[in-house]
Amino acid sequence: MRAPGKRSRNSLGRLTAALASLSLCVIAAAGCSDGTPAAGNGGAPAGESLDVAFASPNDQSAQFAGITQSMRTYAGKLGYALKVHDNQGTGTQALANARVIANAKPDVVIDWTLDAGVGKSLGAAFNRAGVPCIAMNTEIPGCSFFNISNSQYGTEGGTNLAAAAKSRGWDATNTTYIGVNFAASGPNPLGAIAHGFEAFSKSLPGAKPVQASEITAGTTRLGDNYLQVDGGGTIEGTFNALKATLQGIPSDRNLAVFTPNDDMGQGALRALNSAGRAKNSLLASIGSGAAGLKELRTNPVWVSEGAVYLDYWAGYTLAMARALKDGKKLPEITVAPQNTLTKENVDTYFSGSTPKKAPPVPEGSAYLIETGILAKLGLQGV
Amino acid sequence: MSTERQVASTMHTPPHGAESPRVPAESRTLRTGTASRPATGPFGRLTGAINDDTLATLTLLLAIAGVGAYLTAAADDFLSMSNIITILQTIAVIGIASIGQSFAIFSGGFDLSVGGILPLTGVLFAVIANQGSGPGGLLTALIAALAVGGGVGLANGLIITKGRINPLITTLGTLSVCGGAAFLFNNGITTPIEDVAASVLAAPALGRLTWDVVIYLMIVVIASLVLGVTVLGRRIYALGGSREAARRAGIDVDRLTISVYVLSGVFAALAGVVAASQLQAGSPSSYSTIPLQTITAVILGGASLYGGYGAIHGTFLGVLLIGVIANGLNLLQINTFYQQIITGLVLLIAVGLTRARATLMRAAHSDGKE
Repeated sequence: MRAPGKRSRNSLGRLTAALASLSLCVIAAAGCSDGTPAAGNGGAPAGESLDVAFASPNDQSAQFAGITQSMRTYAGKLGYALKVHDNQGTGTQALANARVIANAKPDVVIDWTLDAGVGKSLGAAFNRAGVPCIAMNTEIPGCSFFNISNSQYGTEGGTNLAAAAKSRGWDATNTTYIGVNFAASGPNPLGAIAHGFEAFSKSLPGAKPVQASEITAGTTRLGDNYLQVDGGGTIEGTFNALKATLQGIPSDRNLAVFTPNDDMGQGALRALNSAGRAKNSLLASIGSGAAGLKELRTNPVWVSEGAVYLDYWAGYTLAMARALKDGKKLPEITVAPQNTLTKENVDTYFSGSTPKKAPPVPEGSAYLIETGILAKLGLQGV
Repeated sequence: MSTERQVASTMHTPPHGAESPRVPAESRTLRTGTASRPATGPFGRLTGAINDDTLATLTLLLAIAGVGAYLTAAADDFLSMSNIITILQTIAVIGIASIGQSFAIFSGGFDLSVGGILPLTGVLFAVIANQGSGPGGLLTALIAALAVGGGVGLANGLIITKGRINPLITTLGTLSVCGGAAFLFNNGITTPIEDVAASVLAAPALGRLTWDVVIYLMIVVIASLVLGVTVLGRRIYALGGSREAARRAGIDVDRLTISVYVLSGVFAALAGVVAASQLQAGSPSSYSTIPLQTITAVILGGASLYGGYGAIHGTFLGVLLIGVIANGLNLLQINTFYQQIITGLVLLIAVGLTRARATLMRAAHSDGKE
């Protein structure tokens, strides 16, 4: 039975809830935009000004907040008007931001959502409003795509592994390549390790050349030289999976291991050390985090490290925005600044774990040079 | 017999077949209603000599033996000494956290916060170990990690008992807090441990047996003794059997609940330190699925989700079964997607066998009554 006075309390509760919902709607509609126009807008020469909206992935994360900061810095240098909207790592917030941006109709929107599931809705919102859009890292249908090239990382890493293997006198009769996949993350990690083996098999003496397309997420073994395990994207997952797999590989067999991120690289390294296999092992990874770069500089096992220049992504996408505004048709994918480091060139590009020099502009992104933006920002490399 | 002991022995199924010498078997009313009753008739004669807990253990041993026999035939290296040690090392982290989870589940609760404590203390251990030097630095890091684990457990216990908030919700909250704190510590980056001495727990201790495995096995034995033969153990089962009855029997149920969560937190922290020592790094994203894995191991070991029943050796066997399956699937190079399906199916079959065992025991009991 309802207690006396409960109805009025419930009514009050409903009213409070309604007000709270209304407030949330207003906040969502505001899209958590910082609402501040870009720094230094007034300095842009006539005809070169650009009104850019940036939907950042998640400013609560230190790594992503760095991208937002770079975007502000570069936009300021170029004299572009910039409005930042934080997607807060969720699809719902990304969608709320997209609606706000579509209403504001900037010249170009650069959007990085961490929720691929809302990509279609985001693309539809921008296309309906006629706002040219650039999707960073996560594809958005109808938007120009900017991302790293995993196949390039793979090819370069595999080539480095093969060169190191050859210099030690290894060949197809005594060497196994282990690709450590992260199947749950989709095709990107597989793209790296599969292209890695394609390049490795082409260069390793006596090996039968293999195409990357022959390797799928379900592959566990291919010919005599390829094994695939799943490290689940984590240090401990890779450690446990590789440690178990090593039990089935003769101890005198040489190993070339490719991991798609540095956490997995560290897990693999620990498994090799723990099994006493490091002395006849080589490792290539991707990430260019502090730990990966340190291993590359100091550990003879770690011979290759794919470098990700996240801080430069803002400059590249602003150059894309310029090209879009100038009416240029962009390629299907514009490749982010990237290269693969070895012990010889790591100190050319990184001081400690901080990038000190931009890598050469990737082939698929050469059109950005014509905008003059990369040169202005010192990102053209050599 | 004290009132407390009477209630403890009548409100829940005692551990390990409840062959406590201090409690006459005929005075017990068992939750599954079978273990110590006289059994006659065909089924009764068949099962009369074996109590419920022994049968649960045998079922699990049978499952492990079955999987092991198949893997021995299918993978050359499965039974090699180095692979057996690899399996034990792999299960040590989950196993230690499962001991704490066992205490929580036997007492009628849950501890999801292990999924936050483990990475948090792993990162903490790595960061502090890097700041200090030598054994002193590692010891400081170890003590700090255990203190944080115990502190989170204490917070869990206080919120559950004083705030009257469900353990599931409470520990879900602290899981999130600790998980976030683990990422905050070093901006979400995995922290390698500079001092190679930090991997001491993964170094050989007795022959080829490593310290992490030795510590885990010692904890299994000590926890079994604590739950099996001490007053604290009986009180934990009593608490899980009926909180109200335990309270009426004079047990300080709030204090006991807090102690259980502190223990669980400390075990999770120790698991975090062992993981960091094995990996020689602290990763904030490591072992994110450990709450589910530990609960699965405890339930697989024959515990009741409602508390009051279960055994540490059952949990050990549950963890071992999970570890053997994971190791075998890797050795056989099974496609990763099939690995998930096979793991799930084997676990379902194992739980199914456990349930069939319970049905068999009930049938035996009915048979005995006729």
